Amino acid sequence: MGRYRNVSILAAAIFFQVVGLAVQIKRRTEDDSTRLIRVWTVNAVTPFEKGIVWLQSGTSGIWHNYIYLRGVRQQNRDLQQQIQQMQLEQVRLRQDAQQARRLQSLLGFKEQFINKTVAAQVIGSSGSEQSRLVYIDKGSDEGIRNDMAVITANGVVGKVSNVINGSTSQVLLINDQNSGVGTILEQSRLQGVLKGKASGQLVLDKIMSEEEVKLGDQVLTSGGDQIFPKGLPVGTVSDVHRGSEFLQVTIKPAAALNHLEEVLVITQKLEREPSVAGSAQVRAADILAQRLPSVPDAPAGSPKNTNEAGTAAAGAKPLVKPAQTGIPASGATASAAPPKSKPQPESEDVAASGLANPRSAAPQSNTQAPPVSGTHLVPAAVPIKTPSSTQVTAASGQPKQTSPSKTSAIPGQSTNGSPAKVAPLKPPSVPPAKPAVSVTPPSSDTGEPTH
Amino acid sequence: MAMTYTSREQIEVYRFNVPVAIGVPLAAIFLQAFVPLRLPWFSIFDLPLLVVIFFAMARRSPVAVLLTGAIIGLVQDSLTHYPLGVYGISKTVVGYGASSLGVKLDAESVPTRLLITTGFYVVHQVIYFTIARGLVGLNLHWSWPRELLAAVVNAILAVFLFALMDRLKQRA
Repeated sequence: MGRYRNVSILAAAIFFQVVGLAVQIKRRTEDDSTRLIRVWTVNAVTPFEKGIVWLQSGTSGIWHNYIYLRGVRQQNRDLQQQIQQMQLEQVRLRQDAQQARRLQSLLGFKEQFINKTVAAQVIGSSGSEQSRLVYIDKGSDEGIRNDMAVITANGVVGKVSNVINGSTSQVLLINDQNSGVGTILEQSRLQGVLKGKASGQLVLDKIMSEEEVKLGDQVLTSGGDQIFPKGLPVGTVSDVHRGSEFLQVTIKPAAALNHLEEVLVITQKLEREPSVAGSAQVRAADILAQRLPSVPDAPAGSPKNTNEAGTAAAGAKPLVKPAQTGIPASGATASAAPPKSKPQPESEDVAASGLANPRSAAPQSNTQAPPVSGTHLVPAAVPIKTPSSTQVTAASGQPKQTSPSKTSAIPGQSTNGSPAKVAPLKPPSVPPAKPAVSVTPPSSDTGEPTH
Repeated sequence: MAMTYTSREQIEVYRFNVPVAIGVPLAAIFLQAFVPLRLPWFSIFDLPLLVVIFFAMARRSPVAVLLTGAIIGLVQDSLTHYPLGVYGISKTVVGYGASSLGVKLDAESVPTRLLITTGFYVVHQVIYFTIARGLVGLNLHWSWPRELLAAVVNAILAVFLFALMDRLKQRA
């Protein structure tokens, strides 16, 4: 009997694990709660990860913000120049956006707004190539719940698959094979389901083979999965293969899924009809993009409004200082700062909505950039950085007048409870204007597989 | 008297202190989860597997090592979103196999370590894929060139890693 002792134990160990596996597989559909062993493991591993990330970001912050400032002046000059060009373009884009919103309003469209987001830092991964997920340092304490969308300024990242504890959550990436995102192609307006393959590639499913899909076409979220708001960038078409029934469309993700550091979790969405009056509201994608960039602080001499609008709230370092970084503010609503009734919309109004005055940001610009702007361009080259501790809020509603000290430099962020700008999500418009707003037909999102 | 994590084998059997026996696998799992975030190519390595093989060859106690493998595998499973046990079973089998084989081979020599690690990496992957596809129903992609390359890369790393971890061994 002793001769078979080892083999018996081996068999028993495997048997119990197989039984355990079978029980889990059966249970998974009924009970989706986190198992204790997962909680223990994550609790044991994540403190180290958080510690290292904290140390790393601290060291990196000191180095980049205080020591290694080579080329910053030149970069600042370049950015200022870029802003001036963009302001010119902004004027034209604003007209497009207003027209689009008028049309949407006429058609009675429902728009989805990103109402509230939470910035989080990626602290770990599954460690397995078969399981494409990451862990973030925000959990139930920050209001994170399962199935919340996770994005970056570049595009969609995934969804919260599991809230482990108060300060840790699991995010399933869009390139995992269990993922699925309802998407729409920007040019052809074809809808499909974006799925991950075992190899980590992203493919667009369920597009009939007779349809025409162009390489390089932008893929946006369609909103049909009820997880991701409509119009967020997902990626671009990198390859198209014609199958017998469906096209095999390979997508290059917009977000760097292999190098994630900071992400935003969309904790609250709103849905409402757009109004022409609110046509100057800034888009959600713009607010997000504005919120994320964190170029080194501009040298002294920035316009004075900067300081007011740039006051960080809630003890968080401002993610973006629009005037300092030279990014023109946008999105001051007509009701907040109508150019005619309030010819001088000072920073209070703008700051209340978390937005700086574009005129103050670029006084030399000969463009009559009014404070009301419907769209806003964010330079793609601007590096992105988001403090993990900051809760970013882009709430809907009318901006309130608040003292500058209580306002945030982050466009769209409100820290005193008053909502900041609403961010309607729309896909970029037809070329060549990349970030413009386009009118989208009422999509029949029903029946689309959910994430 | 210090607590030890040991077996009663008499020939070339080593033991490990409890902190080492717990700390090394945890460190391997931590690195496996953390480093690929910064260096995506690092995910080709399977550090927990290498640790299981190392313990197996050093301790040469199939029962103890299969349990070690099972625990390490289950902890590794916990970090994924798949059912617990996929890695657990794979590492249980690898732990048992490597330990049984280690009794008959000179586990100290570099060629042996290279061969054993290469072989058991492939065994591990075959078991993993079989369970994942057959039992869990995952649609995983198997690629022989990729798996063989990963096996060789892991074996090379194992040679250096084992040499490093040899310092933690205590003669039983």
